[in-house]
Amino acid sequence: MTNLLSSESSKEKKGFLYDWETERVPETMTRPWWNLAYIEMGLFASGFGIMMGGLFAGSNWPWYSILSWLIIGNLILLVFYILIGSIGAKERVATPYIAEKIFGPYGAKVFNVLLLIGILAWSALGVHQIALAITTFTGIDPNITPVIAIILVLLSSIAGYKTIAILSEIAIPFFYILVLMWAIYFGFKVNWNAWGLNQPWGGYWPTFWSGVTFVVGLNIMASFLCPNWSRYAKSTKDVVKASTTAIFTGMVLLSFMMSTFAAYALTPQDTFADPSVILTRCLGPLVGGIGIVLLIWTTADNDFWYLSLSAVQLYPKIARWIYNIVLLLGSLIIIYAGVLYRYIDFASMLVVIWSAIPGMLIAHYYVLPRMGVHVDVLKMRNIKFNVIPFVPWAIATVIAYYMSREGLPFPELAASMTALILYSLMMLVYREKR
Amino acid sequence: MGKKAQRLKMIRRAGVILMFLGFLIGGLLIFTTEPGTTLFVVYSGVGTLVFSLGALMTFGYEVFVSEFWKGTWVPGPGHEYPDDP
Repeated sequence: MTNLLSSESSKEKKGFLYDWETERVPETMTRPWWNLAYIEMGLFASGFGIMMGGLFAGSNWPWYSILSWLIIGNLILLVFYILIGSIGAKERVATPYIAEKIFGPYGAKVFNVLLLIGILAWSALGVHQIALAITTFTGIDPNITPVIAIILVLLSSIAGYKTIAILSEIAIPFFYILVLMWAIYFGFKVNWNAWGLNQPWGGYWPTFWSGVTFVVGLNIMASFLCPNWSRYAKSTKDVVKASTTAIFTGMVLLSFMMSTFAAYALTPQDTFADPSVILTRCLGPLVGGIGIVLLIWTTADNDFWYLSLSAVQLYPKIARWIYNIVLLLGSLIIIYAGVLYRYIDFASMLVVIWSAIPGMLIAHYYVLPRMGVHVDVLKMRNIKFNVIPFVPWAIATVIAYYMSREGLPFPELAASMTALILYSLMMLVYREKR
Repeated sequence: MGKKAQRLKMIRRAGVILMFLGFLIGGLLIFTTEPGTTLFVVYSGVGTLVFSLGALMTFGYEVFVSEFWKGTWVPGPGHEYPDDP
């Protein structure tokens, strides 16, 4: 691991833009649990909550089924978030460096390159969505708004946690207090007939468990990115409080209540639960516009933060904020070149590979130490490239792919569990003799 | 408690008051209006602005301190307020 030294004394020299990207976050830079929750809720925000509200509302399932999907699915996710988030609180380093413990310093570069390729598509999509929203609400030329969008995202991601926190501290109370009040308001406007509708803009879930599978699959990838923010936690207890709050307000309450917006705004002529359309029809162009830009912005800046942290692991001599600028400019080129949606198609295919990673992280930190394999075994044996994790990773990916194709429930969970078991067994070759 | 810490405490208190006002306007008064009316737009717009400013002052109070912009201090458990120089 590169330069992961305790650096309490050197913090004065680091400056505002430094995000403790190559070192352990010192005790004096830790954040309160509610602040961590805000960061996590910002990541969840996007337009997804509103879109999911629409998908749920028009899916022909009653409210209690939808609420059950959200609670069961998110309880499963919460286990992953707490276990992996706690690794971040313990190690105080970001996911790209935690990956070194599993893959070795060179092997982790393969992981981080894949992560960069995969997430850049979604990050660029976030920028594009912000640009489209600005064009819709202000009428500014769509050739100019991507530049405005990257400036906004740059402002909130340039210093990593510090600037992302500022945006979240403004936006999250707005979403989870005012917007929730408005969801109640629109609930009364539709006489609380906001669920169980059979509409073309609704989602399609043939069975109860396919609904739960949808909820689990939606955010399992985000679980292995938890250390990127949880490294700022003072204790694992703070991670538990932050994740529980973020999941039950962000993923359960907001997604469920957003159905009232969709039920009020959408008509049978609408074929898609477009978050911009829903917010504009409910709140008007000004507040609706501010709302949709804030929703996507709080997610896009998290994405670029994570990407730049991965880039740092590849070549740590360049500061994270410089990678941040380069990646934003890269996304601008992707948008202007007109290849964004082809790139998204490619990134969508890559999604299947991520489910294995949470399983291996849990195995490495919670299973292997009990089986006599030290967490730092690769460092102790000076192994730079560990081929072992690539085997369970590949097998788990194939399982996830076939289960998804056949429409079987919980492909991501099955892949994660497969990777956990196979990785634990294969890593026993490094077991210490007692 | 130093002067700077006291000033930050006042900013946070003012922020809570603004959030409460914003909630009253944007979160409660809005129930007296119909969607899409001028009053609805005014209440939701003004409520959003007042509430968001209050949220910044309550939760994002670190932006009012120079140590934060120098990168030498962030609010956190056991280090909520910067010490006076």
